[in-house]
Amino acid sequence: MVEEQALLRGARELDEPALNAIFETYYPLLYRYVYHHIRHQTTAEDLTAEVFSRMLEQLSQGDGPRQYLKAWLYRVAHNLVIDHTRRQVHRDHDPLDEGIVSTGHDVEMEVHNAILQWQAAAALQKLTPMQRAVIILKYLEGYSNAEIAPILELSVGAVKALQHRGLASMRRYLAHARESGGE
Amino acid sequence: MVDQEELDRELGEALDSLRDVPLPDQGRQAAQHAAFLATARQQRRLAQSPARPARSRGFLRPAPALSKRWAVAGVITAIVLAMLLSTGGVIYAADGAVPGDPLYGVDQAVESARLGLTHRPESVLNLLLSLAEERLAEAEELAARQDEGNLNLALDNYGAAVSSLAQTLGTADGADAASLTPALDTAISSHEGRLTQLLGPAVAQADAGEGEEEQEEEGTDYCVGADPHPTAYRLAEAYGVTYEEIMGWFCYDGYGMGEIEHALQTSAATGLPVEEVFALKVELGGWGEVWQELGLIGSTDDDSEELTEEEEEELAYCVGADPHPVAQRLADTYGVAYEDIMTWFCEGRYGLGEIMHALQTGSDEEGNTPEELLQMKTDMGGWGQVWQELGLIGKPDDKPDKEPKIKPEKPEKPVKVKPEKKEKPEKKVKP
Repeated sequence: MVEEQALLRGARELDEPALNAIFETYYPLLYRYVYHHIRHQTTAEDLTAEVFSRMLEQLSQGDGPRQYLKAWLYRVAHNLVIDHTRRQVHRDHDPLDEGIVSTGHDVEMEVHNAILQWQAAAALQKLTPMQRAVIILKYLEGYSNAEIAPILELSVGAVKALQHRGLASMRRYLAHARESGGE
Repeated sequence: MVDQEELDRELGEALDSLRDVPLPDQGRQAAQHAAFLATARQQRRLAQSPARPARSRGFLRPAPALSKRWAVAGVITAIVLAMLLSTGGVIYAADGAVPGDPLYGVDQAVESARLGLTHRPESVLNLLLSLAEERLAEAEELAARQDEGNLNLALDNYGAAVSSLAQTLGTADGADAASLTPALDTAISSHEGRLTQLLGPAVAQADAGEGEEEQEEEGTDYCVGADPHPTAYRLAEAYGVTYEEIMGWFCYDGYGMGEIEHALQTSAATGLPVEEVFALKVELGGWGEVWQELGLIGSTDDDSEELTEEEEEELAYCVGADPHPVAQRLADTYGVAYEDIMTWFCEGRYGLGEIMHALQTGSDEEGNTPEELLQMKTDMGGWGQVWQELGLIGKPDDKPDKEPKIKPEKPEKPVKVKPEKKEKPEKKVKP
């Protein structure tokens, strides 16, 4: 937290070492977050870079993060993801194509994992953007509800509700996939 | 039936399987990193250079792309002149290029060169007006192609062109600015209608249209088939009604999924049962009328005027759960609350084009809010007049930058020393 404040102070002065540290520290985290949403590597890289570009733009106008750098960066990433998803929603584009990550086990295991990943990604895509954000931050990135709340500008109670509804929806999807032979 | 415990285990496994993500490409990341630091360096240099006189204080957001081009205009001029001598055909072809076309960069370079070679304020203004017009035409063409990615870029470019226009007027001397303002006013007004049309229905249709149409065509199959209707499934999830209820309205009552969504939105906003909402729709004929009847949107100036389908589509966002994509974009771009934009749009009935210009104008030193600026524009008839009234353009260069505005009702105010900008609360930040 102390370090974050120091970085933030440096960033406001457009101090290069501070900005460099911010990029190096947060790029991997934001890239993962964006990738989980859209499951397309190049687009995730571009949107992540755009987060930093927006930060510079805001800082140069005297705006930008005031207190919580990480939460602010995640919020920008989230907004960019939402914008991107809206633009992509009606295009002939399968965002899951690049989503299968090889785990390097035997072929049978590979196939099992590929199906599991595909189903999990599909279940995640069925969620509302906010439910998806909560599930990603909590279960894939390991944040607590208290950490997620400022990122999404929600109360902890609202985060819990979204988490509950999101998990329920994913369960339903997986059950449906199972019953219809998708196992 | 699937066992709950088994399902939880499967869900856990499914989530686990998503944790691994491919690493970003190292080369691209390094390039992005370098570009980020280079931009930061450039911004630091700009921040350290002496403050520009007059209009650099928040009036009309800066036009970064165009400004950068100005900075290198001399170099580009030389390059383009060379190109003119050798590759005139390419430049001619590039003139009709739009964002996303391979020749668009050439088109931009030629324009920068032309700007670099033009000096008289009137000529610069005319050139900038024609460039703004060209940007708008590009946006219209991209909207027609439904190329939303490049449409956003074209709209940004249009915003940058208007910013340059206003900045040019800002640096003109008093007499020049006063004579050039009406031309700006006329042009911007003529753009506004096109902009509203461009920002509104085109995007709304692109957003809601395509996929749904296909589903509607195939929709009846879902009434007899075993597969769930994807839209009905989504609506059931989003509005907390059963899938069967939705399919009942769809298959037996004959409502389209779009209508069902409007009814669900309206029901959620008013608490009226969905069936009553449908009954009202049948009685009153259109969603606009239903929402006006239920007090969800302000009434139009002319109550007898029926709303067009496009207007209904637009106003659906006033009661719906889905954010209006353009309003959201404006909120993100200009750092204002989405809700404020929708209030101006839904209750004030301002067009999104007008709202965009108000946001571009930004809060002035006197603290006029975008809403007040919109009202001023309505009262005064044009943005040029508003900007002149606010002293943002047409102020002679020898006057002090912060001279207070004189209003007939109020006594003249002394020059105020503005306190340092307050820190905004973290929550409000919307990049």
